[in-house]
Amino acid sequence: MSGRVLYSSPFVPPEWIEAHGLAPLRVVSLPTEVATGAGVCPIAAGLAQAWKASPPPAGGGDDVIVVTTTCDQMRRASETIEGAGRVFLMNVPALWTNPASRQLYRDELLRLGRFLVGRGGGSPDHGTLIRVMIEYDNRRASQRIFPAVAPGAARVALIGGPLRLGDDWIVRMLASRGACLALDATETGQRTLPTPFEPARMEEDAVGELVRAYFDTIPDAFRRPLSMLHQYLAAALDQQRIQAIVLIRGIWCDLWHAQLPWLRQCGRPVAEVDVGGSASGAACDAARIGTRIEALLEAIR
Amino acid sequence: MRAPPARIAFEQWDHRYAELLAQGLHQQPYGGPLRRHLQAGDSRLAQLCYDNSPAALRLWNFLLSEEDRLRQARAAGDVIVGTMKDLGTVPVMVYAMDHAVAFYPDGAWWTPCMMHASPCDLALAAAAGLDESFCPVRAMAGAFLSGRRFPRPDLLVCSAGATCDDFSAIAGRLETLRFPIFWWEICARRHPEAGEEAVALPGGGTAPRSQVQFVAGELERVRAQLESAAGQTLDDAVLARGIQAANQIRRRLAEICRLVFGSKICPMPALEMLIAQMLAIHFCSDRTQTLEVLTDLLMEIRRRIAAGQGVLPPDAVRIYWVNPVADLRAMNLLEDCGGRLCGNDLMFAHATDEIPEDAPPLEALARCALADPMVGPAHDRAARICREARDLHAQAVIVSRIAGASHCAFEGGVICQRVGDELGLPVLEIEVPSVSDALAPSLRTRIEALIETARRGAERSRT
Repeated sequence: MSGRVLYSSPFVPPEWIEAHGLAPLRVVSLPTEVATGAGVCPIAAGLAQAWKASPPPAGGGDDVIVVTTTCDQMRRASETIEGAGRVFLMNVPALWTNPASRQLYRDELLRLGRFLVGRGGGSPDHGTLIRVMIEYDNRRASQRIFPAVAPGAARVALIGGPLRLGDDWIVRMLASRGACLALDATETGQRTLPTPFEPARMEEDAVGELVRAYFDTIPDAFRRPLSMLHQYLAAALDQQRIQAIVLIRGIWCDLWHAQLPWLRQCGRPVAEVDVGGSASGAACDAARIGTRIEALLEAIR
Repeated sequence: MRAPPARIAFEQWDHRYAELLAQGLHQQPYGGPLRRHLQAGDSRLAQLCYDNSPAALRLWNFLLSEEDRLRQARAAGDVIVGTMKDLGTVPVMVYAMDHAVAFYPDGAWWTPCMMHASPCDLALAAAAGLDESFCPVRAMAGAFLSGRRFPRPDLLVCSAGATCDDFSAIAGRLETLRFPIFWWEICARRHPEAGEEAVALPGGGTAPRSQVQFVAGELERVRAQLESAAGQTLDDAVLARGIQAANQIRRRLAEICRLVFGSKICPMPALEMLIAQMLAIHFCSDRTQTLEVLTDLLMEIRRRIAAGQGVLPPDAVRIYWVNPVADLRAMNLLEDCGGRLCGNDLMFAHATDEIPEDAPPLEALARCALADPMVGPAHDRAARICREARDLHAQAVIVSRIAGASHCAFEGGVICQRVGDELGLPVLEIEVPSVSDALAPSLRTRIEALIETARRGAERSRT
């Protein structure tokens, strides 16, 4: 196989895929025409759409996709993705305090590795894996730096699920209203970056270091107990001197929607925006979300 | 003289109760007229239709007196364990101990239906940030906050991982509201891969040995928590006895289902069948009584079948029903439209399948937990539904969606398509809210149309 390995969850380490000699490609959901009235998550439906819409690899071969169990709809959507034998459902455990869950995550990484080998990849040797891990770690270094905030700009945090392709207009709109994104804690933002690798640990047990960097440290709304997410957010909100919060989630996303009351207790105004009505309803979404964000910024001026 | 089997309205139960008393009805301490539950606030009871047997009366009284039993357990100093989400596995462990009861706070999802005139639990849940975008199980949060439905459990145990997002989100919110939860992980069941050892699960599926071992390890952690909470040893011998007792109930229930679903004339209404099946999950806080209640029901069913009697016309169309309904009235509606229940998948088949007794107890329970139709692929669930619908000669299938539930979004489509492709049966997907009165005309029309289609299909195949 010379195709690519598509994935969307931040719990899938791309360096693990690349170390198998395959090309990881993080895909984000596409706005899609989904029946939101029927409870379908637009993010999950959008991933299936993105998979369908992805152009064939330039070098030929078949793409494969790695979907995770990090939310119920994504887990179930994986069954509707066409492509027998090309969809890998990776179990990402919810309990971050439980050693057995941690071991399960490690076992799943190894199972993913076997799947990749079965699709034409090669088992990585220790040296290759470490080299690729260092490359990725270096590339991420710049992403860990919080964005510069212009003096006088309102400092806003974006918290929640992933931003779909094309949802970045929300960030532009914030800027056009004199606000600045001082913290991107969405699934596609800084919140989900793995912690930097520690060379000594990596040398001793490279897969174990992947587990530590990803499983042990990435906070998310699906993880239990929720204290990891709440501690991360509390610290990041203070560190970035956030004045207002935008909670962004897909329609029907229960996991992030349930974080709203906790965020409201953080002492800052919060606006909740749900995205993903449909591609054709994007203009409507923009007007609705724009009004909410405008009201939020009014509250801190 | 014994009254012929019939479905009767709530008002008719007063007269029927007096009649039964006059005939020397023997009752348990939780017995009495149904009306007292209405007076206590279960206002939906007045709109339901019931089976007229003393066995059904006992079933209802047993169900509706659970809160009293929990309070009695608290007064007696028993350990009360709130088990959440796994539907059927952890209670087997709890009831293996002495002076310990388990219940599902999840069961509060029926309170918006039962107490539809008093939406207090939902209002409290909404005030805590759990609005109507979540499935009706959000009433559980209101019940915790009000403290009126059940005593605060000594221990809360909840599965996480391959669960529905609504429940996970609500349970997570509860924890932030200072209701400490002991979490255990249930992994998403997958098919064994080439070269992986497969283990047979109750209900006919398989799982990789590694997943069974993982879940058994998680249940080992649960065991330690239960031992600590109850101050008792829950060793394998004690657990094995608990499994045997649970299996006795599961076998009794299986016999009831076999007779009712297989009988030419329906001997027991769909609503009572739903309630009877629900007892299997946590024994309604009294395992001994659960067995007796089901035994009574079984005897009544046998009598009716022997006498060639039933509660519905012989030509009632055989419907296989998928998912529990938030509004119990929907079960009546099915029969009012000319249908009868011939089988169902209420999302907890693993709580009614027998637990293996030839395996170490925790492994046996792990196999049960992994057999949960909700932790595996929707295609697996659909396959079992098709197999059962075929074996039970279903003429149509109804997939009843749960409003706001995360699993329904994709799963319903998978099930409907498979039923259509594999069985060629008419299939209908509906959504039943907690109180469906406003939708009743539309639901009725759709169910009637399905039944008409199924009838025509049956006539065509005869000619």
